[in-house]
Amino acid sequence: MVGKGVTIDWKLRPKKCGKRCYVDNDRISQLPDAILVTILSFLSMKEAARTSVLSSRWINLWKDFPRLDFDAESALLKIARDYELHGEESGKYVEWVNRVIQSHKATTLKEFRVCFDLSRSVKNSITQWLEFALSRHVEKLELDFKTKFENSGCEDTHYNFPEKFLKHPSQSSSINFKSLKALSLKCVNVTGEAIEFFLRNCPSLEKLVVTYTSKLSNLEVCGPSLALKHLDLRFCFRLKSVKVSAPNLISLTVPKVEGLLLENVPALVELSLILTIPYRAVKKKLSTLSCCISQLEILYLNLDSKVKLCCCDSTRSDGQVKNTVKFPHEHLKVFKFCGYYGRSSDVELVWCILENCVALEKLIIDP
Amino acid sequence: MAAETGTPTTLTLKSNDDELFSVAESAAILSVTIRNMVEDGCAGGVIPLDNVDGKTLASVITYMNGISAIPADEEKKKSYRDKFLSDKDFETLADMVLAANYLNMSCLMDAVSAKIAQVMEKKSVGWVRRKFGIENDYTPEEEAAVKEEHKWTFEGVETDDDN
Repeated sequence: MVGKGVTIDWKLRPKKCGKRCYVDNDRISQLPDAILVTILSFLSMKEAARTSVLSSRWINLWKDFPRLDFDAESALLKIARDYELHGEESGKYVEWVNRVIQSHKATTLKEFRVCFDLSRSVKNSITQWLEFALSRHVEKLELDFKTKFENSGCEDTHYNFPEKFLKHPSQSSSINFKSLKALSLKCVNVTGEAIEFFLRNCPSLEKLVVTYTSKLSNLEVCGPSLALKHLDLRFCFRLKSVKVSAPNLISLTVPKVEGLLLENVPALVELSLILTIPYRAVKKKLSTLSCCISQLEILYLNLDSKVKLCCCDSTRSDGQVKNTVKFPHEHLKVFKFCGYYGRSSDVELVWCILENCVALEKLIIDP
Repeated sequence: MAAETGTPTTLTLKSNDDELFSVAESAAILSVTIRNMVEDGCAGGVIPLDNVDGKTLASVITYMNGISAIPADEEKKKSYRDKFLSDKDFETLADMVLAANYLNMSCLMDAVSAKIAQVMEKKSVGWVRRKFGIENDYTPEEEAAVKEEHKWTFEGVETDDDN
C-alpha cells in the first residue's frame, strides 16, 4: 500500500476533525496536547514515537519528545557479525536520524545521543545533528562513533569536532552550550583547546567524557568555578599531560599517571588509571598522587596484564567489592583479592600488600 | 502579596460543582495556581476552582495533605505517591492529570503521567487502542504510510494482533 501516492495532510486532519469526532470513551485522546506530551515523555523514544500510529490525534505529539536517543543496538550487532553490512546499515542509521530531526518540533532537548559506527565520511550529517541539538539547548549530549577498528590506528577517519562551534558564542547565536550538563565524545577528534572551550562556555557542565581521540595531547582542566564533577579521559592514549584543578571534581579517569598533575581537587574520591602498571612500580607511580591519595575512597589500578588492583580507603569499611583486587595504602584496613590463581606473582603481590599495608585488619583471598 | 499574619491559615476551595473544601494553606500552596492567588491576596474568601469537580478536588486535597505531611524525604514521598495512585482507574487518573495541570502541581502531574505511561509501556498499538478506547481514524492506506514512516519503532515489538 505504501508508495501508491497516498498523501495525507497530517497537520490539517485533527483540526478539521475537532474534538467531537472522538468516540465518547476515548478519554485519553481528549486530553490537551501538553498533558499527552508529558505522558509520552515517560516512555522511551521508540515507544513514544510508536504512538503516532494510534490515530491522527497522536501523529504529531511525540515530535515534542525531549530525549532523543538514537540507539541501534541490533544494527550494531548485525555489523559485528558481518562487516559487509556496515555500508548499508550506517546509511540507514544516518537516514533515520536525519528523518527524525527534520520533523522534530521540540524547542528544548534534555538529551541527544547518537551511537553508531560512523566515520568522517558522513560529517555533514553529523554536523547538522550537532547544530540541531546545540540550538535546542541540549542538556546531555553524546556522540559515540565507536568503530570496529578503534584500536588499529583508524583514528584518521574519526569525525572532527567542528571548529566553527568553538568560536566565541556571540558569533554563532543559535548554538548554545549554556545548558550542557553532560558531554560525551567517543571516537570524535577533539583537541585540548576545544575541551578548554567547553569548560569555559558550559557553566553547568558536570560530566565530561572524551575517549578514543588521537588529537588530545595536553589538557588543562582548571578553574575555581568549574561545576565539573566527573571527568573521564580513558583511552586517550596520546595524552601527554593533564593538569586538573577543579574544586567539585568527584571522579577522574585517565589513561596513566604520568603527566597527571592534580592541584585543587578537594572533592576527589575516585581515581581510575586505565593503562597497565607493573605492580613493582606501583609505589613509585603512586607517589605522584601523594597530594590526594589519602582522600581517595576508590582507586582503580590495572596491574600487570592479568591482575587488577583497586585501592580503597579504609574510612569506608564497606569498600566496594568489584571484580578487582583492593590494593592498600597506609590507611587501608580491608583488602580483597579476587581472581587469585596461586601463581608466584599472586603470592608476591600478597606479600607486597602485607608489607605496605600497616593498618590492614582483614585480608580476603578469593580464588 | 498577602500580609504576614503569623497564624496558620486555612483556605476554602470551591469546586466547579459548588462543593466547599477547607484545607491548610501550607498544603494547598503545593498548587502553584493557588499559591499565586494567595500571594496576590485573593485568598481571603473562597477560592473558586472552575476546572475541577468536587470528587477530583477531594482526591487532590487528600494528596496535598498526605504529601505535605511527609518531611523532605524523596523516597517516602515517592512511595506515598505510588500508593495514592495504585487503586485509581484510568477515568480518575485522567481527571487528576487535568486537575494537576490546571492547579500547576508538577509532582502530581508527573506521577499521574508516569502512571498512565506505564500502562502503555511495551504494549502493541492494538492493545493500547483497545485499552483506552482510542478510535483509529486512519484509512488503511494512511495507517500503512504512518507505519512505514515509523517502521523503526516496531523493531523488537511483537506483531500487532489487531490487523
